[in-house]
Amino acid sequence: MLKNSLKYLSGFLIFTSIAISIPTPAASLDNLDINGYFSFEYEECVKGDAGCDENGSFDLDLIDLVFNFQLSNHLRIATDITWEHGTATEDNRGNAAVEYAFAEYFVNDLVKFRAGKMFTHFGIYNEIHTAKPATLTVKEPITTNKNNKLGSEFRFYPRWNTGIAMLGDVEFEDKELNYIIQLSNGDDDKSNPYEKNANKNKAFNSRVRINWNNNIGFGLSYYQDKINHYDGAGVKDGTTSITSYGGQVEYESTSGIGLEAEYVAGKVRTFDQKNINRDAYTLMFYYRLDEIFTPYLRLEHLDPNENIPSDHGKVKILGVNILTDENMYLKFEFNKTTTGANNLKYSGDDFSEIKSSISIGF
Amino acid sequence: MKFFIILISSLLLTTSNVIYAEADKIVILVNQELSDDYFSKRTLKKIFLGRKQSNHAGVSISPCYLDTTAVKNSLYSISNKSPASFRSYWNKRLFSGAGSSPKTFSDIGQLYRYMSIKKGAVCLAISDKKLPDSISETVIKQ
Repeated sequence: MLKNSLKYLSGFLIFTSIAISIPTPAASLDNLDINGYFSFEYEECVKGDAGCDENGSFDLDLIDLVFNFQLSNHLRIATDITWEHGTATEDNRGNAAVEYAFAEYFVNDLVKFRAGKMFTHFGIYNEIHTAKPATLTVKEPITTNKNNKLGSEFRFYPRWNTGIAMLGDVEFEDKELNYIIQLSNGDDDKSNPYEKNANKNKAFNSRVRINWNNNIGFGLSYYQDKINHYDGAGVKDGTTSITSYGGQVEYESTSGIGLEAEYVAGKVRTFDQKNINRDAYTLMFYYRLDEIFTPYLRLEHLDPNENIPSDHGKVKILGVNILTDENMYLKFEFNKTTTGANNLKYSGDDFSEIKSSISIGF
Repeated sequence: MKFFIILISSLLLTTSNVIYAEADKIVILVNQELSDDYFSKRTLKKIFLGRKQSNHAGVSISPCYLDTTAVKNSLYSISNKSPASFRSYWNKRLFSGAGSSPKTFSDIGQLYRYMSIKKGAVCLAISDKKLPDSISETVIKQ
């Protein structure tokens, strides 16, 4: 059924692109919006040194430019270009990347189609993981979003994908629902998955979110892919299947008390037929004291493999987000990371660190 | 660590709020192309939150507002969000690729110029008896 649906979606996209004749559009400045964001960080270990910066370092985290070209009533090109960590290609320093670049064809509010490189729309944070003005904390949750950096062998899903998507907004009674379905090359260690699929399998993911009222919203996400496994000589010797699913809740009361919660679980079937079941959650409480100060507490937990005892990773974060000017945020937080003795990354070497950042959206 | 504390203190000292005194009537202005369109409070909320991107005739809607405290308060009321929630909402949408946020103008002349060339412009501004011919004031229907 899924296969048929995907074939139908692909067919419809091709048909749409052929059937609808679009005059050659010129991107005049009136139809171009330029936005972006900037982030500057400072991190320092205060206890332990396993996974943090004992010297204390400034980091020109990133500057991103976001372009939206509205070429016609139906056609939009969107791209986000990033320069991270003081990019200097001559010295092989930092990173320059296309976060996303896609064409979007608007049929109506219910149905839009995209083609290009996109964020993997899964959960709350992945699509805003670089957009620091959009998050209260200095970094996105590591347990649900960067689990490979806390003892997991595989991510729950890749950050980006290249392919096609269908998305839209639906309204029923006073509820608002939005959905996205993405079909892409998926991920691969050896080749460029934004150019070429390393195997015949296409990655599939989808997310549905419902804003129940002005205060609370729920969401469900799903991701499925098969990635190649290569032996020591770089020869493909099998495929690994990854399936992940998750649920999310976002709540903010009229008095400013907020909650962001996300649970992700899934199964990995490795190339040599081993099963890995894993799950993770992140739970953040915050309170908008006024328009300026927002203290927050975030608790994170990851179980990289349910069959291995004491391989967990936990993170506790206590911090404050301060609006210091129009869309400029100062963040200051204390992070504590603890792991089990069998954790693949830190093996029980706990550490604490302070993090701070200035992030500006424009 | 000392540097860290000095940095935070300095930035906190720069925190400020600009307060405007205004008694003007807040109105919804539209490009003539949309002068026959129906605007309920619910429709306006969807427009200013980016959830309604075209009208019944397929014209792409482009929301904007005059950047004054009174107009912004009206915008927050229409969208049913606090200033912080509104800002956070649009940061997430804009930077995740969902589309452009409502355009802001500090000058009414620039807003009129934008509205005159944007067929789908729907903007929050202050009442003005000398509106350009290409722009009309509309009423919110309940």
